Amino acid sequence: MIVRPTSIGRRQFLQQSMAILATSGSLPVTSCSTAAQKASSPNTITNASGHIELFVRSEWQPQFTQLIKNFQEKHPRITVSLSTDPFSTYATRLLTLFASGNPPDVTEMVDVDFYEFASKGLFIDLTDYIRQDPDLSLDAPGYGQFYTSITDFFKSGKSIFAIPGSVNPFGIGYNVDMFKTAEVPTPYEQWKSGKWTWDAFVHTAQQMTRKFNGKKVYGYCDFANIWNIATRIWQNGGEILNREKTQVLVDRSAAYDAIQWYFDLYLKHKVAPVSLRSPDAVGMNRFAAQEVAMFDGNPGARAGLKSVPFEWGVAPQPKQREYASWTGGFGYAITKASNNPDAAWEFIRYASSATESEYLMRAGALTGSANIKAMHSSAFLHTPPDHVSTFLDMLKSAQPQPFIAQNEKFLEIWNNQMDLVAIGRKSAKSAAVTIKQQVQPLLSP
Amino acid sequence: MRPLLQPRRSEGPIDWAGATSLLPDTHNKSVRKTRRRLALLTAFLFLSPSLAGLIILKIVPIATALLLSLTNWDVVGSPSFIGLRNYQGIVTHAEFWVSLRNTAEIGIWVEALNITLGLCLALLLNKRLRGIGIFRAIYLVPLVTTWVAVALVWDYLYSQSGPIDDLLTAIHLSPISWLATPQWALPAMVITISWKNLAWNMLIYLAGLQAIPHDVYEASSIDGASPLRQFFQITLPLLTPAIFFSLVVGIIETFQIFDPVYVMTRGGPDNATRTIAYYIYSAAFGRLQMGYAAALSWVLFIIIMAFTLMQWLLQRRWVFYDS
Repeated sequence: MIVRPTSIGRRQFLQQSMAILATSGSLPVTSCSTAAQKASSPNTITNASGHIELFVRSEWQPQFTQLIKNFQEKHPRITVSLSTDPFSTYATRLLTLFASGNPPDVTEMVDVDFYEFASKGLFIDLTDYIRQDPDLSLDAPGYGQFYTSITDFFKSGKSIFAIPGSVNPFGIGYNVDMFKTAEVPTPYEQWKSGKWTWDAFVHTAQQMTRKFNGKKVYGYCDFANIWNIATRIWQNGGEILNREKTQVLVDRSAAYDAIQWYFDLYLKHKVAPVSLRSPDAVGMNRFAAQEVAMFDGNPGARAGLKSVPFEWGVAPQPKQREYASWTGGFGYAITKASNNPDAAWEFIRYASSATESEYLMRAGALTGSANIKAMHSSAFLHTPPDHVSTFLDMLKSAQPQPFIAQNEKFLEIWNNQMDLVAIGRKSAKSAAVTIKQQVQPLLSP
Repeated sequence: MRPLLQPRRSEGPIDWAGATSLLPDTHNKSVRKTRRRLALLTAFLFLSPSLAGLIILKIVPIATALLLSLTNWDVVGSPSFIGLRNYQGIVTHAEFWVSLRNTAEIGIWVEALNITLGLCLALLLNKRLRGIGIFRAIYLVPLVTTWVAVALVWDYLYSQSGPIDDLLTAIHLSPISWLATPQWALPAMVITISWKNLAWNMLIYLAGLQAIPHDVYEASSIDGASPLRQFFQITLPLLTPAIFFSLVVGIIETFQIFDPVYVMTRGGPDNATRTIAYYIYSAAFGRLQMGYAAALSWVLFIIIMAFTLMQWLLQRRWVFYDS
């Protein structure tokens, strides 16, 4: 018997395609929400009730809409409305909300903007809430649930202004297929054997700068943001600012030697295709296009590399004096203008719990959670990349870069100097002296 | 007999006030006044939507910016009055002068390129050829494309794996880090802005060319004038009003250039492409110095006004009106 394909009309085909697309699109969210509901979420600890407004980036709207739905099922006396704005204009919009006297109750606060907002006294101190919370322990590192480096970041003095939501540690992402073809030990193998140092990194990058399938490939590339550079400074035992943020330390040799070493990857060793401050030096794009063998890979790159036609893996950053890496992230903060801080706290402890963090990761909102338990779950520990657990190893030595109240001005000075070092117009040492001169006055209270 | 309330026909706009002069003597002055007021009220009512828009969206923000420029305000707190300190700060900040110099450099190069190339293009497109309309439409595409799209495309073209560097490599020249090196970033920006705005100049000049009476050329041809002489003695002088107009508007636009800087370079590398408009933006929304940014806006307004007035005064020396 001959089986003939069923013939359908164009309209019918389009209708069926749309139905399949809609179903497949909603599957991850619904399946995750079911999983989240089945798992145990934290119980209500206060008698809070009433209405709160949550403000997050609009890219996360579907996931947080579902999370709010889950929350309200568990906390029927609290209603939550969601406001969003695109990530690119999020901070400006939040500022205007504060300026208009109508800020949200709970806001997502990204590391880069946090200090600027916190220093204006816009958030409430969460210390008492943490002290009274049965699931958290104020005296425990990371309050007993989160990575310490990121909880510490959201502190100012003795006050705690946000509960961390995410982490995004930097490692070295590498193209497994290219390393196999070149018969060069992968960064992960070198790290495992304890030989993954700066010298080994340069040597590996030089070996990988070659032709693959008739096309020139470079060993390494990534855009030199302050966090990429800070990572190298820490690896060399240096600092940008002191812990109290009262002194610029970048003019010390441990710091400027690391900066010079990093930019020399292009200037001296020629293992990068472009200057590391060139706008087209974005590592993930070049890595996805198979133009480079290594880049500063982080969990955030997973989404961008979802459909690449090659295998990729991740290894920790190489060390000079010590292993060090960067992690950024966002936190949940309660604004001082909130009329319902207890209900806001209920929402925060719910959203940052292990089960809901897992849901947010599975649903594609978070690339890495600040919650340790969630990071050890299959919501995070899945391939690609190969050796994904090394992200967890990196978190032991990862920290966010320091920010100051006048951060925008600080970054302008920093970026201008790095632009000059990147093209060899200025030495890192000379740039560091300029940074010290210009940034030090910004640190005075 | 002419109806009483019909306005007197004139070559200019309808003379409502004059209409009352047709009234018979029995109507006294008060009736005339009432009608005049009615006419004014009618005019005002027709104008009121535009006036409301002008006042709410332009006059009030401009006046607010003036008041804000006398304060120190970080958006969140209350503004505190600091007199003229923001204005004093502007002249002492090196970044302002760098931004001003960059903006001036961009302005000079863009206008020089756009006037020269725009004129050449207009002369070419003024020819009576088959399918010339298609070419005119092609040249107009950049004008109707949004700045962000244009900036993203040029960002790709300037990248080191982009077509421009591929072309340089093909002719055995070294690739250039266009947007990463201070000496090349500004020329790259000039080329981008010029490419986008060239069509506007071309359009103005094309209209100017088509307004030149053909008999002037015929008369000069009979007198034995060569095409080159016709261009310099007829075309160029008669195009000067169009060139003047495009120059005034072009310089105003250049002083306000923001979008390509924001998308392509964020003012870098090393402040090489930081323009005044981007400087205002970063002061306001980066450093949250709203008062300072408002003062900068007023300084920019004064600079633009000064340039425009200067051009207006200088036009007497080089602009020829056929009247």
